[in-house]
Amino acid sequence: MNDNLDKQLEAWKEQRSPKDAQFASEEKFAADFFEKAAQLPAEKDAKKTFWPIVCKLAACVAVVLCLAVMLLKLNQTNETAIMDMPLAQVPKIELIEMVREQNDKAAEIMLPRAVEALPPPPLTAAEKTVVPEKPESMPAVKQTRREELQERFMAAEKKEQNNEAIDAVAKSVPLHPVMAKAKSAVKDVAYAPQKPVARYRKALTPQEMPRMMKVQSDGYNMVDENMQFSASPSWNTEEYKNVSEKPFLAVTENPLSTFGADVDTAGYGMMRRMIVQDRRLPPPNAIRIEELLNYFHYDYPMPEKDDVMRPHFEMQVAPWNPSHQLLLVGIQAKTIPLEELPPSHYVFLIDNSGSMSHVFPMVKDAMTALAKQLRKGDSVSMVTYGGGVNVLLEAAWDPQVVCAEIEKLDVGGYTPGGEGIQKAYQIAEKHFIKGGNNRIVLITDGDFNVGTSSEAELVEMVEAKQKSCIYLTVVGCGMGNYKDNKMKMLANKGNGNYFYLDEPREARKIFVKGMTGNMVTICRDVKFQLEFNPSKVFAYRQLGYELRAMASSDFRNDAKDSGEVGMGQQVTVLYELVPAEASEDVKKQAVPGWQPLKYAKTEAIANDELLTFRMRYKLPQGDVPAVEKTTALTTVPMPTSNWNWASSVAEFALRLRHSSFAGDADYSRAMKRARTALGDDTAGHRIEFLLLILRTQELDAK
Amino acid sequence: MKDKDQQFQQLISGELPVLRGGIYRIVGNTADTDDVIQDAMLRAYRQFDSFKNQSALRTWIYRIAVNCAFDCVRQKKRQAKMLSDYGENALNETTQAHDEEQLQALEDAVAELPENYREAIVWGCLSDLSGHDAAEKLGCSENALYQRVFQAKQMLKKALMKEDEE
Repeated sequence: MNDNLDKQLEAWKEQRSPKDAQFASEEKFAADFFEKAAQLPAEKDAKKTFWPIVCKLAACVAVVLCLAVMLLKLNQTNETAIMDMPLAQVPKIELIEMVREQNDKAAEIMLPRAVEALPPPPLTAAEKTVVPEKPESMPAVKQTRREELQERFMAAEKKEQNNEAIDAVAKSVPLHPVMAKAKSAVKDVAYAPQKPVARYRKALTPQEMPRMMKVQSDGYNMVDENMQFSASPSWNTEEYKNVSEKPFLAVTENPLSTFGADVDTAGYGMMRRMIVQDRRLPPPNAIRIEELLNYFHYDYPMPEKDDVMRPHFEMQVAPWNPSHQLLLVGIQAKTIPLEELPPSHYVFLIDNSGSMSHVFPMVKDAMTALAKQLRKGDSVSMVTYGGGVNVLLEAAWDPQVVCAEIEKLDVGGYTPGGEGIQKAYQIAEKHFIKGGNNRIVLITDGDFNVGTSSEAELVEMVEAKQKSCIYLTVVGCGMGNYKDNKMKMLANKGNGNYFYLDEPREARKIFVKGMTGNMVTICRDVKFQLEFNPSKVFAYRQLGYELRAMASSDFRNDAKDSGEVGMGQQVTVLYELVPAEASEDVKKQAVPGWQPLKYAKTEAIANDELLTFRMRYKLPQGDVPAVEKTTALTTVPMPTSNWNWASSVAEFALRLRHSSFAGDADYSRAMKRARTALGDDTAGHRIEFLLLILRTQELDAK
Repeated sequence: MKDKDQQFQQLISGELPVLRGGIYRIVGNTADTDDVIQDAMLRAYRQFDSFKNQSALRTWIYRIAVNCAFDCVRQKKRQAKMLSDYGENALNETTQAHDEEQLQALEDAVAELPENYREAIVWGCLSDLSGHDAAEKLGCSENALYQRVFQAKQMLKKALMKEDEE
């Protein structure tokens, strides 16, 4: 096949060789070219040559709209069909969707009941303290056919249990009226019914259409096994940054662990999209444990009056490795009353190139949501880049004007990203509010395909600009052609944060609920450092934060850029520790080949402290010196639901990543523990995660 | 202004033969080839101010020319199809030989590749440029280009295989 393709390419090359072609002379070409170039002034010219493209795009949009309307209708029939079904028969995936789509009130009523009904009994007190049981003699090698079959059977049984769990959820919800109520509440939200449209539009081809319709008219589960075509385009050019996990480090050699703050949550949205919408397991590199951890809200104590951030600790035996401990460090940033917030100037920088067409309605909603939150003194500018860079609004303060302008937006053209970013920074500088919150909100799928867009150039420029106290929020969306690596890097370099929009609900989480946290920076260049006491801890391993790791020497180097933390935000970090009193075997396994240093003898100083935690940050405005706070930790409080939740998220992530440090990490145990830690979860994020685990388990079993 | 024209004059005399070599292989006749190149250059001319240096400008032209060329081919095909729909089969009547058909399939597959892979195939495989030169024109390292060509070929294989099955 390989030769064949090469041969074909060669044949093509030969057959169309320009050798014998009679081209016009170079002079003639040049003359023609300059004649044309001189004919039209730049602006009008642009319109003229771009018209055909605009027309084409308009045609595309029309087709898309037609499809959308058709699907909308189909979907509605499907929805009613589901509402009329006995609940036990409601397909699982729909249940997940429903749970997610409910407004908070309905979630409050229904979710706890659903959870109570999940089958395995809650953990007993004894189980809670030492969760992991020893794996019963792992099947070392598949010796006989019988053993192989046995194993398969066990796998199937596991899956069956899993299905039962979901059925139980379905059965336990005799809440048909509530469900209906929730549904009608959702319908009030204009985009709710559109959602599946956006999701399936891409996958439908004329051949598939009839099949789809048949399934729909049967009222059957829309996302059935047979419908896997929605999974992924025939090839996928999404790019994720390669992340290699941090190993265990011996405390005697590396007593310091230093990293920058990271409150991004994009990783969770991307993972959810792949599992629920694409129905595939995400590639290991797309899973960033820190972003999964930070997606959830924890119950950490608020900082004292004058403090900006406050650390909180919890420790317990690591669920996936009973000889290790798992330390949770949660950092809570303070909140400011809304009235006291400084005025803001937002520059929306919107990629309205053709590749954005299928997510554009959602993007518009997200921006409208933000525009409606504008307070007195706030202002908005808007720059689009697609067919060219256009400035649509400059420092407008009237939400109505802004919304109207958003309404008019449309897609079309290529993506000269670099130029757009430059323009946005120019405008941000022009309308700079001194002492205020100056922020660029970049919304794109990250596919900068034309113009000055080499990654290095872009980053260079953003880095040059970040000194000016203008922050950058990157909101990624789209799929199939998504450039996660570029986006993450831009946000990191541009003093900013990074989100991923996979569904309208997420837009609300980012722009409405998380608005103050995501949009108002409370301290910048936030760095954390832990120093472990070698007499207590033999080795440690930080989970995640690979992209934020720092050299210890950079901790006090204030020229070194680091992450930002917004108002009320939380940073959650997990460390897996090998205690100093652990057996030699355990130590050897964690840090293979470790031996004491020959010259530098580390005499343990008599000290009961486990570790010292330092944080260093700058206040957001002006050129102020950095502040450093230190906390020494002797006894670690018993774990609460914070630890239970964070550890199950981590266990899930380790298992999903096929991490080499996963130990015997297991979905169902993560699930079991997570269920004890649901808290009051009014927004339904945690229950959604439980269902996500079930879903993953199923996919994994395949 | 003068400076701008001069730069374009230089570009034309320096790059025209290479551009023609590559684009001709996509569109297949001289008139369209020149149209496509002219179109690409006009676009670059208009956006001239946003380019930092000449190499960025050149890269851009190489890139956009491929896009224009495939657009041109697509348009031609659509016209031909419209004609044949109206019964004027004159254009399509010549029965296509087997390898002609194969070439057609390959061409379609290339047209469907994502942009940066497509240009890697056109300039790295189909044109007369050496690997080093092609990488330079596209503004990337030679290794990156080979990597992309390799991946593009993988995609092509997949696409062609799928086609065969159907």
